[in-house]
Amino acid sequence: MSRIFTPVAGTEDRRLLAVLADKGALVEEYRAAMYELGVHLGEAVCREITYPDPKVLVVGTVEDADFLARGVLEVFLEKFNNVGFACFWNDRVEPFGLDSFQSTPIIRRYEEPVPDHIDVLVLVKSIISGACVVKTNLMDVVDRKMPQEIAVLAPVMHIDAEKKLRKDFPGGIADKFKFFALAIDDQKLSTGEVVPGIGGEVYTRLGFDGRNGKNAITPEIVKRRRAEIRRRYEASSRSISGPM
Amino acid sequence: MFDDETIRLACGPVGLEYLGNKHRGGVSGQKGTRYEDYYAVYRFAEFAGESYTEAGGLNGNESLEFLSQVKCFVDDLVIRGGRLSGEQFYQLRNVQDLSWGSGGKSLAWNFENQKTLSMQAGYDCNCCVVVPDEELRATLAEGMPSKLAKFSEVQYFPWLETLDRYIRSWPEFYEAIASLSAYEQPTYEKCLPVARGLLAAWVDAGANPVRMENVLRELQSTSSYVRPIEGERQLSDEFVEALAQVENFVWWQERGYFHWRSADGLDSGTLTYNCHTPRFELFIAWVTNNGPTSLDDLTDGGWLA
Repeated sequence: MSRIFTPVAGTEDRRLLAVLADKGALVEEYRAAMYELGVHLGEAVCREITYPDPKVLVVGTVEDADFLARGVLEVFLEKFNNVGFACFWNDRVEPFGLDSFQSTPIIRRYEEPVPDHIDVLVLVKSIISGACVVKTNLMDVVDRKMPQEIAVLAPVMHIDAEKKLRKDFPGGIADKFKFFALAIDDQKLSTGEVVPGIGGEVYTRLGFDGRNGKNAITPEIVKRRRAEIRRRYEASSRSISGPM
Repeated sequence: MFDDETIRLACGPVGLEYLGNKHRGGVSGQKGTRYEDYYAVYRFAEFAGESYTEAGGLNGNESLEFLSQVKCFVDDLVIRGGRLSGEQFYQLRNVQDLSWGSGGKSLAWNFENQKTLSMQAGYDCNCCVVVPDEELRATLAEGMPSKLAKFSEVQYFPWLETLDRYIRSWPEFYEAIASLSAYEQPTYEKCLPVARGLLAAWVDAGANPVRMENVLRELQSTSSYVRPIEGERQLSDEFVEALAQVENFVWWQERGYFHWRSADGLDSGTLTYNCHTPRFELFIAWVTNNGPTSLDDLTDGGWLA
């Protein structure tokens, strides 16, 4: 078992990664560590963006939305004006019980309006192992939003994940991928768990009731941002229809 | 499918010995990632998509079967049953160079013997060789021996290495998979579980027949978003009226699935189970009994995921 820290990982990141790997860490500690790592990863990506005023879409999964993805999103919102957020609820299907044919369809989504063509797509995931969810979510967004740059962010990645992900996309798309991870692990248990990884199944570590439990919730960040957008819609429609 | 006595009667001891050796050789490579496998998925989807009817059912193709590893001369894929008048035998050759040849064990010899064997067994038969190169396809079609012409054809099927690439890069493959989807125009992301489900069925079956109705029923019981054989469902006025009370909520039934979105388009989704399942009955009962008035009522109850 070996872990390599990437050049992006500072001392504080290493401490936070240790919190994730510690199976005894409390849910609140774990959530806070994910949020902080999101902030650091978000900053690392922002440093690489050369567009003066990019159109950005940050995409996260339901389980990451209030923690890792929120950290990333807040950094982008602070630095740029044109940033949208999307949250996907992915299911997991193993047809005929064969996990090698697993797929992770998007069953529900929250997606803020962004232009049809964006400059930067930022895809956030707590860990990239088999790359299945990341692939599904990229497949969905890439064709609709035609991003110029695609940043894939995760605190931890398995050593084979990048290669696996690139293989499934045509060169023109795969060439746009830029991976931002803090640690690369090379060991996977027979259960599929990467070790030390993020200390086991992320749904449970984040305090959700397993896979089904996480799909039954609506993240706070979604509720908050949705309410803000609706308030803005209503305010603008009032001003349009108001007295001349 | 063909017993040894039928083979011997049709093709003599030479043919019987040849098939014995060939069959013992088994399947080379790992089933699930081969050219043959992707072609089988494509043809299954194509046949299934054409079989769905608005009234429900598969228009007589419920019993259509796909087989591999059959003891016969043209053996990579056999399609039989359903509304097919005969049996279809496919030889998949993922090569850039191929000829019909002549004499024992050549492609032409195998096709000829397959016809003889099928006739001996009392079946009509068509044979097809499939190659990944358009020029090679044209050359083989042009050079087909005249004695094969009445029952043989040559097809093109590209070699794209992964299911994802077939879906994304070959429109015919996308169309075939899309015809089974819960969406009229599915995204690539929604095609993937359908295609993977079919490939899993093919691999899981091993040497056993893959029966169309069984596979579709199995897949429509998962969240693969495979459209139900039963077609669309007539929904009660009570249920429709109850949903009309949900503010800013738009829903519709498409290919037997319940699709929804918020009026402002921020939220959307598709139930993972189709409208003919017991779980959908529970959804109907919950909606009619509880009278939700907002999207939050539905999502907080866990009904939209």
